[in-house]
Amino acid sequence: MLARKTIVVAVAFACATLTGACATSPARLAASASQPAPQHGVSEFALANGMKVFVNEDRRAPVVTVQVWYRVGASDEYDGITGISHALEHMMFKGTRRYPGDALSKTVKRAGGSNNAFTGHDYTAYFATLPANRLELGIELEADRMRGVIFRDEDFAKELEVVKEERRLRTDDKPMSRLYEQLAAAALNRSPYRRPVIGWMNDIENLTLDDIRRWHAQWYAPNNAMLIVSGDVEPREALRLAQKHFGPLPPAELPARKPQREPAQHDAREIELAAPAKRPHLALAWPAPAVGRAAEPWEPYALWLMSATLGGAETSRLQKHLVRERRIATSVSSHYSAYRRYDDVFVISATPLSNTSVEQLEAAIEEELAKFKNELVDEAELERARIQVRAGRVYAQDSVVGQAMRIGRLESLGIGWRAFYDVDAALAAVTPEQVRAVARKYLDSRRRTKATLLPQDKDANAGA
Amino acid sequence: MRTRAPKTSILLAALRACLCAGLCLGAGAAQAAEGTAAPAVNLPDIQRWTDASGAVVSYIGAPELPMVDIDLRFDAGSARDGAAFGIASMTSGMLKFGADGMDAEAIISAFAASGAHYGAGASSDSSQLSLRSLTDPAAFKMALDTFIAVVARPDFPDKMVELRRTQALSGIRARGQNIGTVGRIAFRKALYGDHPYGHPVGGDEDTVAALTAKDLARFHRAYYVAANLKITIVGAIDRAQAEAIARRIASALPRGEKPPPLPAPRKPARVFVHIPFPSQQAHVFIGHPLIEVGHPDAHLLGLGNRILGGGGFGSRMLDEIRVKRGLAYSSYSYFSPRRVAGPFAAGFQTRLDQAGQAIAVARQVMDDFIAGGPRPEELEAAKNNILAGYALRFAGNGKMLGQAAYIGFYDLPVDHLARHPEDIARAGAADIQTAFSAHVHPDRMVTVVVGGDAPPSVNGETAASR
Repeated sequence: MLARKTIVVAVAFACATLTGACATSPARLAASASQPAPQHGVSEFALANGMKVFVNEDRRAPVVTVQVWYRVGASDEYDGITGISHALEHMMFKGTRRYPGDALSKTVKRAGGSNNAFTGHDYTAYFATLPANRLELGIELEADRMRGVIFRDEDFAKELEVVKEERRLRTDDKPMSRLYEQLAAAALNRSPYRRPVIGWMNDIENLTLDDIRRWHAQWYAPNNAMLIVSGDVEPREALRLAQKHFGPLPPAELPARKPQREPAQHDAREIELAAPAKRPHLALAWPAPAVGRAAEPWEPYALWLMSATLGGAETSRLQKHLVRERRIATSVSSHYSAYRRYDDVFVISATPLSNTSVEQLEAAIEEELAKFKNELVDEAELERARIQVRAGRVYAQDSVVGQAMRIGRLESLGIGWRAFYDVDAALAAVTPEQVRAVARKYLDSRRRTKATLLPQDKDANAGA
Repeated sequence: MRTRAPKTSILLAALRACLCAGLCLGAGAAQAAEGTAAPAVNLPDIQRWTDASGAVVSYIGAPELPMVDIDLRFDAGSARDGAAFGIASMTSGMLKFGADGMDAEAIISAFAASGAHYGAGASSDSSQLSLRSLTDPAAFKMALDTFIAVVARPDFPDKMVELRRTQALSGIRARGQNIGTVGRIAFRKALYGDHPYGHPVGGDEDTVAALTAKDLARFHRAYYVAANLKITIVGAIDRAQAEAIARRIASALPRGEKPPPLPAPRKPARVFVHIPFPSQQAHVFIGHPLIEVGHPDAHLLGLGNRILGGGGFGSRMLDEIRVKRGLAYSSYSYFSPRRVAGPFAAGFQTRLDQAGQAIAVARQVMDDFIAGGPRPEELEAAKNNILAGYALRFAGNGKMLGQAAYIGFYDLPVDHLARHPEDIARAGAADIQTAFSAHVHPDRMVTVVVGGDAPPSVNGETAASR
């Protein structure tokens, strides 16, 4: 048994608020006027400059993760500068006056920690995991580089080469990655999710340091960022340190963001990629709305359970019928996220077994979909999917870093971190009829994008 | 009266000394001086005992979250395949496809309905099964009952074996489209040849195609036995419950016996080979077999490797190849001690026309490190990273499980986790340089390059084509 303070973390089944008292806030902290008591172990604050602060208490180990999430990513880019948010992320590690060169990473490591960052469509996140008594260091380093990063031509020239190697590694030399990159670009005309986060190669090659400077100046401001601290931390202390280091940074006027709605799809689309692959692959995509973006508020939750019962779990229809019973697919799965900031697609991915052609597999999938639209799923199938969500919520509490990332992601998407805890009622309300209804409405072959990977003889024309 | 084992608290006078002497780069020194008092790291209390059946059990009580993790490891990895490459992997993958009269659907449904996560797989040294479950009594009973049936009484139904075999063959064929996989397989073969570590864990097309249900059942009977089992349990259960769970699992298996020790690998011949592949990058792997788990120099090599290429930014491989020259996104060195000598490797991926240059840099980096050892500030930084951050290794049930299961499987003493930081604190630059000179020999390394059509040249030597 760990000889530490054992403050029980709130869990799904016994939802108790923490015993940590929420003291009154001194006037000079200028935190948000109403400070609700923490729920699910999470306290929420806002600094006067608009920066949000989230603190997740988990006292099981003397460890803390400090994360800064900027509300900028590939979704905010435009033709000609795709990949710039990711390139900027790379350049944020090149140093400040106070911590020049790679001093930030070295300082984190010397303190016993590790650090990294990643870029997505809707956010760019920087995180360090440290011993709990180095909380201030983690906060100070992020505050220092938010506006203090120094951009140098010689650093940029080399780092651009690194980014190109990254694109080659992750995408250009991987037929499956190329297929999914093409699928996104074909299935979505306007939604910013059509763009690869790493950027198209020609755009990467033509990025300039001035582009990077402007992008940084536009978006890296406290009112476009949130600080998330998770672990063995006292919320008021985290807030005090946030105010001390981030408080002095002035907000910036942010560019207006356009809705970028995907126009309704009325056409069927097909793409075929011949590439050096050893086996074919099939991906099918249909537009499907996320929470807050559907005609009826229950539709995304019905889509969630539709995906789980159709192809999202080992017990699902497609996996059972096509993989284990008919044995025409070596793998098949479906993918849908109810939480998106922009318009996205529901996807079915499948790899045929060697005795089956891609056409045969596609026909079999459409057969399964037709059956799915004509029958009703059992309540038991729906309940199994709900159990996964509830159990998953307990397991998710085990990772201090995971909890912070979930807060960052849900907040960046505009959904709010509470959705993770409050979703049970909405899922419980979904009926088999509703699942069938969304399947009929959204899985329409006249509004479907099909992407096929066809193995190409590598001795044939090798122009990549 | 049973008393709880004393907690191991590593205040580490050595740690304090390291932090106080630590230099801070840049003008931020004032801030970074905060926290020089070393935090007391309370290591998880690992209780270990041998069950009557011969299985060794490790247990950590973690009452805060209503969940429990069970990890089972058998000395039944691909090193035990014999001539039937892939049999260990396929056996572990087949267990859930039928057990105790339940078919695959019933088993998969039972895990899903209980909210449990089940996993099974094989590596070079071990076959491993894992169960993560809620401690809610009804859920846990369903999950554990199913788990025990799967590990102890798998049926290997012919039809499902046929399915898995077909899937495995599809996967083996697919390897050929992944440049990294092609490289890793070729590298492993060059390092180990005919040694039990030399073939892919998943086997080859001809060996997997020949596997039958009888073969798998035979492998299971031979290796999934209590005397060959390490059980690790972490979660919101008490010692008595853990004992009962371990007893149930172990007594469901035959007692059996441990397999014989593995042979030590021979040192490979130096080779420099190129494998063509349609790509824009070359993937490079450089190395040779190194040491086994428990080797007295393990901590010195680990510390040195962190500086050479295992520590991310600030380590030499990444600094020289990526940061200074922009030649690669990922550039690393690692070594992986196993039951017998596991691989040491340095590697990276770079645009084809840069392969020769990058290989030359990597070799120079290794030569310099072996000749000169770590610089004082590098050593200080690496030690601080390990010692100050030691608590991070145990942050959460999953991490504690991983640490305890590792030392349990490799028969390291329970106090290994407490002694390791002491060994690290004591290590000197000269010790590391000596260990590297003794064990790491660049002039006898295998270099495998995959990518493009033309073999690269380094310092006038062109890679042999494969």
